[in-house]
Amino acid sequence: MQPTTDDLDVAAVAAAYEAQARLICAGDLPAPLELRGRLAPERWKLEWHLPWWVGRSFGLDAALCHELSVSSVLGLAAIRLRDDIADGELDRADPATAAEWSEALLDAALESYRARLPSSSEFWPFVAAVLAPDGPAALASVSDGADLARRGAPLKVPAFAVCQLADRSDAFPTLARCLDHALTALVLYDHAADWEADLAAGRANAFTDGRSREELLVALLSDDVVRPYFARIATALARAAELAGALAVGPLAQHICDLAERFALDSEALAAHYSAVGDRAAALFGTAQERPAPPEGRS
Amino acid sequence: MDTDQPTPSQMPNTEGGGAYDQGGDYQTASLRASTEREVALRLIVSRAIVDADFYRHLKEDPQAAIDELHIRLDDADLSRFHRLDWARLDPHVEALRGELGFDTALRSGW
Repeated sequence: MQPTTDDLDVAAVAAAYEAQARLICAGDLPAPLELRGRLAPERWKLEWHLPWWVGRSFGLDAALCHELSVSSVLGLAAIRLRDDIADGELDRADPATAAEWSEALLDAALESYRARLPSSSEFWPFVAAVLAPDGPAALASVSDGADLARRGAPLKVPAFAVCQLADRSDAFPTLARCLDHALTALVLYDHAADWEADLAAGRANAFTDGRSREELLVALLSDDVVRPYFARIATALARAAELAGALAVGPLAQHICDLAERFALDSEALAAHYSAVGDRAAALFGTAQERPAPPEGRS
Repeated sequence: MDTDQPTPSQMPNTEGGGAYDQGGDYQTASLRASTEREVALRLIVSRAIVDADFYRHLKEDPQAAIDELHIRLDDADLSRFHRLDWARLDPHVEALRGELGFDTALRSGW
């Protein structure tokens, strides 16, 4: 589909982000701050587009929404970098230098808001709560999972700001619940996609649900594990789409519906794959079922 | 299939006609027994695909390996495992083991 005149100019946002990041890093764009893969707009579509979708739907002008989208990507980069430092997963970067980059990126992300929201605005205590070391947990209104809180921070800040700037503070609680449901779904999907890595690293994972690798694989081959799990994702996305619709943020509702469609396809593909492997195994062992005949004279 | 400590309601009663004679509900009882048997066989086979140690054990001593899962099969079903041509099975089981990864099915990302 061709972008319309009211689509976010992703290339322009990327260029603005890279220019700012290069300034912070004295000309180079180190691997942890590259957009490709780590921060790609395809992977982080909500984070890239939310200020644009909500801002435009609430009547903010395009230039401001573009600027807020750049801010959102800078904030995403800062928070991802901070998480990587905490998890010891930095890619060829010194932790102390990375921490400085993270601080500077966050500072740049907030610059747009400093110019527009007075120091007395409710936005600043909100940002302070989000960025406090134990702050993000306070943001999860649907589930208190740590993953959800981590995923939520880069979205809640611009969401809150857009509501303030559009004089739509009344919309924020609904928007926050919408984001929590969407994030719940995304985190659950992440857990399904990353279950083996999480298990190997000893991280909690909703999909494994306390099972070992062998236990989970046996369950996948012998029971319908996939569909009930993905049904939880579908339920969360349906609630998110309903709330986005109630706020009349059409592109957000559409994106959530697109996710639901893609995840439903994944669910069916996974369920069919493991069912087929289980069936082939049963055929191989000669245990594929022939039902016992009823006793003579019975029906 | 029996578990170690089944409750009466979980057990298909096949003695002296058993459930087949209760209220003429043959189809329900038969289906339950058949389903439990299918589940038991599916569990054994799935475990054999996933767990190479269990597969070896099943090959060497089917009864002991199946006992390990707290499953009891009747003689007819147990004899299936005794009669298997394991040498023919080995490469196919290995191939199925290679299809257990999630990465091929889940590529959409977001």
